[in-house]
Amino acid sequence: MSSMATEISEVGQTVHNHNEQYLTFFLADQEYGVEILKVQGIQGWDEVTSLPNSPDYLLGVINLRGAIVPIVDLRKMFKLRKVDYNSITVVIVVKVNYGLEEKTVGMVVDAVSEVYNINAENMNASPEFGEGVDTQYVMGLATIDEKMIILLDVDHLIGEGVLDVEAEEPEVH
Amino acid sequence: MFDDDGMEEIKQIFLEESLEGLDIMESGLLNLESGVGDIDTINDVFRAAHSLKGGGGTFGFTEISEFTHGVETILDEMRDQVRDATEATVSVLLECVDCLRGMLDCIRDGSEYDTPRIEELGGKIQYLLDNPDSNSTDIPTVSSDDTSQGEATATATAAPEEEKTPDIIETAVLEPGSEGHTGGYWLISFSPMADVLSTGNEPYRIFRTLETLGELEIEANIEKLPAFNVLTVDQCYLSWTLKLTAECKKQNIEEMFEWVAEQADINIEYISQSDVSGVSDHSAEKTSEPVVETTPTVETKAPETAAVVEHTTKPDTAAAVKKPESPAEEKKPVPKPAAKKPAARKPEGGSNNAETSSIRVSTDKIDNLLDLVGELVITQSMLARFAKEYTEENIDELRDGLVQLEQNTRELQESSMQIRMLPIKVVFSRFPRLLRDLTGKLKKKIKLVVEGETTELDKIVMEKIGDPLVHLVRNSIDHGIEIPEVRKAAGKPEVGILTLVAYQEARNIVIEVKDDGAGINKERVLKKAMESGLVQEDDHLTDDQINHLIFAPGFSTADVVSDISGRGVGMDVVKRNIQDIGGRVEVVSEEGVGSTFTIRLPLTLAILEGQLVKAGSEIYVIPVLTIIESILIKQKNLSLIGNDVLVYHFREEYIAITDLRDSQRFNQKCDVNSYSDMENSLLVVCDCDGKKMGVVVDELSDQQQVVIKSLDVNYKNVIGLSGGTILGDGRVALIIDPIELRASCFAGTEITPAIQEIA
Repeated sequence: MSSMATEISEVGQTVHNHNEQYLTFFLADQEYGVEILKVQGIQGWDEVTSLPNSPDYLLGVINLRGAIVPIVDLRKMFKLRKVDYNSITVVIVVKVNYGLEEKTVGMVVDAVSEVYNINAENMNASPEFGEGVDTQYVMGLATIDEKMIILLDVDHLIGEGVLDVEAEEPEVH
Repeated sequence: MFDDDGMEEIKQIFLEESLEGLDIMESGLLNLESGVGDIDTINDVFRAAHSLKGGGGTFGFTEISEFTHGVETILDEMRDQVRDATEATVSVLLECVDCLRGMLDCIRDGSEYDTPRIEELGGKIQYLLDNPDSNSTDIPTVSSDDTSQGEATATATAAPEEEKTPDIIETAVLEPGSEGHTGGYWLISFSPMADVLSTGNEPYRIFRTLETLGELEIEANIEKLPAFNVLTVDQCYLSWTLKLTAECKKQNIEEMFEWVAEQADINIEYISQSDVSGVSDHSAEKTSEPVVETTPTVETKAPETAAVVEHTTKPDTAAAVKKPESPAEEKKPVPKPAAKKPAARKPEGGSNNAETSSIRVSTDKIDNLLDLVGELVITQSMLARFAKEYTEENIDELRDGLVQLEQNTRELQESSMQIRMLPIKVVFSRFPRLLRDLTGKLKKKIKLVVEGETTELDKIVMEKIGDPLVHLVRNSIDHGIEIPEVRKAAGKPEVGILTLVAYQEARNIVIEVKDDGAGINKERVLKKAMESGLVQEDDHLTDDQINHLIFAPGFSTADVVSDISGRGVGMDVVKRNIQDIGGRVEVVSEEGVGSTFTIRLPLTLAILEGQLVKAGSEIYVIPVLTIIESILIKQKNLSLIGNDVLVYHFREEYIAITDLRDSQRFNQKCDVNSYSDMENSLLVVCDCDGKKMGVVVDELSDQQQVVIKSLDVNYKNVIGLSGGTILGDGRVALIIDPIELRASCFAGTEITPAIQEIA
């Protein structure tokens, strides 16, 4: 009996030590994080080819090493104030699970910040936000050096927020 | 049966080769039937059957090898000219080919065999074997409730797989032979040489196959077995005496030993009567007899052989190695009620639409590819050297190098595309059979002429064109070509001619299905179209337009045309399938003279001949194949229909137009206020499924081949676009799908009734 009890506690320990790395970036002075394992690359902003009948935050598609990849403007998606793209505007390319498939999507952000180790213990559940970021896309909040970081669930963010969105109904004139 | 990937792969190879073998058999048999075949043809068919049987046995698909065995025997008799290749016989053999194809499909899908069908055919084969001179067509259609045939059926085929336990390999069948027997049994003495095992011949396997002929008793002779310490494990010290109670020919038995004939003394003799009483008692004894199991593994390795010996010698008499009996109820030759036939029987022949994942490529193509890669490497090193020794003077060298690189790249691209190309023969080869079956059914006389079989087509295109083609051919046979009497009355030769032609025309493949039949009855088509509301009474249609009505969705062929239908596929589906792969279909028909269906297909699906157009800030690609012409817009030719549809007056026609310049209005009608700024823009007139659409663009740029990339890979499909492509400067350009674009732009707009149907 006693040996079994120790085993259980050991197992419990390993779960608590679970650490994950997050890449963080800025959007309108707020720092956000995405799991680094989801990130495929970071690249500079480039012209896109716009896609018809798509939500306005879907800027269009780019050629990423021969693949056609959609680009999402997170500022527009989170209904933040629009800014002009400049030299530090970057695209974070993430690979998300969508159903059984994997889709590669680029997200335009203001600037890339850091990579942090964030312990699951240090993550707080997200409170209700007002407008902008939908809580279902937020995995949790973390505090690092007294800054709050919003950790995004990119699978949901891209899946439900972009891929599931039906084309806007063409207005009938 | 096979769990690991390695075996799965081998299984795939087996399936592919077997299917190829069946194709060979089929075409050979068809030749035989039409009198073209000779002894070589029979040999070819026999060889194919033989490899199939061998393959089936080797990979453990015993049902296949058992079934093929009978077929092979018949073919062997034909080869030896003991049997004539009569129509009836060939017909049965062709059915067997179908059945085997079905079985292979089952193996691939992991589904269950269509046992009743297998049994039925097995019965027919058995009948043929039993009646070597049967020239008549009255081969009984064996339904399993015919008792005498039921036995034969069971002998020739395996019991359904699910009734066996894995260790007991196909033995359930042996029973029926013993009842109502008159003859005696076959006594076979089999003494293989010591090295028989090393040649890969496994006596156990031979015995197993023998068991398919009838009841088998095996006695092992262990006299020569040395003491254990001097025993060499890979040598065979045993000989056997086998008692086979079966009504078969000596030849059949000899065949079983064919592979080992040179490495063994084999003596086969028939012992008649005397022992018969013992035999008939036997069935009663059996149930009480203790069951001696044979070793469970099939690949008896040498050490185990020794073990078998020990095992079988335990009983005081030299024990009869006997397979375990199957449960009593399944032994009963009781006929299965017809109702037990699986309802979902596989459709015969037709669409073997399994898109196989591998192709056979001729070594020439591979060699060519390797040569090109070699050249590319040379060009690369040339350029690398230039980069190192860069001076103003040798700038020409760079230019040369780049030219060469360009050429290499293009050749490499073409050569890689070539790998995916298969001769259209692959599709055409199924038609002789289709023709044979249908003409038989319809009592028509039709000759099939095939031209351009070697025309090559992309594998994917090939797979997708099969079904539409079958439909067109069927259509021509069924509705096109008349029955001989009618043809005679019309002063035509009795034998109708159906021509299949394939050839390449620029970057398209053209396939024609031509018949010299009655042609499309325009009156009836028109009447039918009016009834179903496709056409209004006062519409004035040209003959050509009437002919094309048969492709209209909702145009029911049900009572315009006769029987063989019931496949639920209309011409609209044919058309849609062809359009799905970027092709077009047209018909030219003259009443009383015949019809020609012309299919135009892109050479490949991966590459499209595209017209680049600039519209607003974007560049789009429009498939060249769909463009009729491009004209400069004159404002005076623009007019408004209703309050929202802009049309352009062009060659006596009013064409609905859409504006690509405003990406916000993609998939929508033109902004009616944009009239004024259209002057001097370009209108690209596209053919969308027989209807025209004008696309307003700013300018035309290059025409080039573009590689199609699906938007679905990382995003999703967008209505009106067939994908995207990457231009030389690295930008993405979207490829317009004119048919879809037209449908979505004018959805709900009554320009012609058919628009809604498409949408």
